[in-house]
Amino acid sequence: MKYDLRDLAQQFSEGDWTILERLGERGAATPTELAVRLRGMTETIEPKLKEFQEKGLVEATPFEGEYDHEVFRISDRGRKVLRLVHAV
Amino acid sequence: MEITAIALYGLVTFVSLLFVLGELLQTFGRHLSWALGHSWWSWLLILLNLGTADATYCLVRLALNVGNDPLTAVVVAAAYPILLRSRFTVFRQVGAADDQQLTTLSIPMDNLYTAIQQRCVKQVGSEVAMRRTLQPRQLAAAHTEQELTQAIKELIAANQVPANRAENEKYLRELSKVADEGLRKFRLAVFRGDLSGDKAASLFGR
Repeated sequence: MKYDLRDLAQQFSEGDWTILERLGERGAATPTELAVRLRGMTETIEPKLKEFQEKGLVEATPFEGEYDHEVFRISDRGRKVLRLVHAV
Repeated sequence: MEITAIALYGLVTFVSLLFVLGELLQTFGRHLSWALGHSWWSWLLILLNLGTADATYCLVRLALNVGNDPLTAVVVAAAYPILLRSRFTVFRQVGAADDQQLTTLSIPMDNLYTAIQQRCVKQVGSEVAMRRTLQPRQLAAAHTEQELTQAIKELIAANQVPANRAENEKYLRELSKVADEGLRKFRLAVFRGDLSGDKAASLFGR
């Protein structure tokens, strides 16, 4: 589903963008790594990552881990939206 | 001593190899050898550079009929990167901006090359992230929960910023409440790695 970048920039909270920023800084990360980095719980971060993925802001690569099963990374679209968010 | 064509092709190949390895080294740093072993995109980048350099040299030799002139080999080796990293505009309406829409026809070699580089970085970044999950798993398997907690407490205590210490102590209490023992130990191990400043974690942030 296509979303206008400007619309997307207004759809998430500041805390949500922090998740995307940290993911961008890390390059690629599992939900647990990201949650720990943000001092949050995986159960909160993972659904948000899925939501970002649905909107094309992150990409996921599945793998066979014991507790994490996907590695997420920010997409080009995600970086563009972050730039828009920072510009506002 | 006569310089053979093979030696000159070898020179062009060697210089182009140095060039592309320099690019990859700048991207992956100490993980370069690991990247070469795990990403076929990095090999594609190498082959593309070597192939372009040698093909360019071959065309220049044929077109200019320069024979075994070392200077030509050096010039081609130094200039071939421009071919891979440039946009060649072959048609543009007079006065039009370079917007690549209807007014401009171009061969976006730079876009193609950048796309391959990005594929390479993404592949290696994901592989590194997957590999990173092994470290806390091994740590959790090798230590008891008490040992992990103690190590975390020592790392927290070593932090000079009171606000950070308070935040980390609160987070440790939250992690300690995770019901599943295996999951709790795993997250404690990830937290310990984060506190000890896992340098690999911040790589490939692009």
